[in-house]
Amino acid sequence: MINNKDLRDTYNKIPKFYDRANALISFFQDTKWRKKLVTDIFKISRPEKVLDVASGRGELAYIIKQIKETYVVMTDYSENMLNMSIVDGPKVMASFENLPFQDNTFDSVISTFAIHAADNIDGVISEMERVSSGTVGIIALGKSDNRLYRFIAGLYLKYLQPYIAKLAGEKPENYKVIYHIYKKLPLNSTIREITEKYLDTVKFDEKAFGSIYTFIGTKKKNKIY
Amino acid sequence: MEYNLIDMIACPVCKGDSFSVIIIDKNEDYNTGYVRAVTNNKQNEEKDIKAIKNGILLCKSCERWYPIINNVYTLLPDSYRNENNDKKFLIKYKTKIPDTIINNGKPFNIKTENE
Repeated sequence: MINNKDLRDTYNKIPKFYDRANALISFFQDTKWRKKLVTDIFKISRPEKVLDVASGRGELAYIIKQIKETYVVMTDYSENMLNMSIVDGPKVMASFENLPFQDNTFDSVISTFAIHAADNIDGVISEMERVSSGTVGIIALGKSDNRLYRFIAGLYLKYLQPYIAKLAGEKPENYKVIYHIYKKLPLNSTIREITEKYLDTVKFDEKAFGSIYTFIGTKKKNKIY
Repeated sequence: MEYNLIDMIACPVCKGDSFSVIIIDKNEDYNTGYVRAVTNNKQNEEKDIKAIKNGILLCKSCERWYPIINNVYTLLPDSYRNENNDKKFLIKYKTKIPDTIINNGKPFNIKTENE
């Protein structure tokens, strides 16, 4: 069974794995979907201070800064990812299950292609909500409630994706980890219940046979949890 | 607008938001607005610092120490920290770090035994 530590080791050893993995699980739409998420968040708020949770090498931060010059703090638990960052700016090595920031610090807290790897997704979303004063945005690997969609996505991730990676000169075994993550994921309906527990939903979209979801939420006006 | 990272951080373990700052090296070329933060904490009155390249943040609440390495704040919970690397950091900068951290720092110090 893959745990957080194994995954961290994988990301640390091969930072470029992160980019390729994101491209493969998003059917090479990762950049486009990130841009759409950021554009949608900027439509409902004008964040000046953004936290990029599990930033990797800063692909999301780069897109945010392209759209509007914004103060973006990047966090990741992989030292190598942060050191190889493509964006200048403040960097914090942190775990997304224990975000080292004060409550309501950021106007927007965003995470793309990362939180599916968490052992405790509920805990991550709760932390993202805690440190945000405005919006929370997420793109992550999901699992459709539709059995046929689940079958197709599982087939792709288990059998096709590692070998597409091989064609790109990568070791297939490194990419099999994605299927293991997928296998242990809760259904998208459960993810939706978790997000609704902490945040008011602005948008919850599923893409690619439900294997990817995009979420935008705002802080609840009256907390009841 | 420029913000100060240290005004935003909290201890990942106890969520305390007050830190002592120990500067080991400054980075004059890397400006992320740490100057005011350092002076705010009243641990160091050096006004010309643009950023901390290497240093230590000490949580005033639970007394855990966190390294700043190469401009990156390392604020990991205990289970994610690498004991060997933390000890190497303490040994490398032994002369610039208070003895209380070197000998009794949490979660690791040069006296703690590896598991």
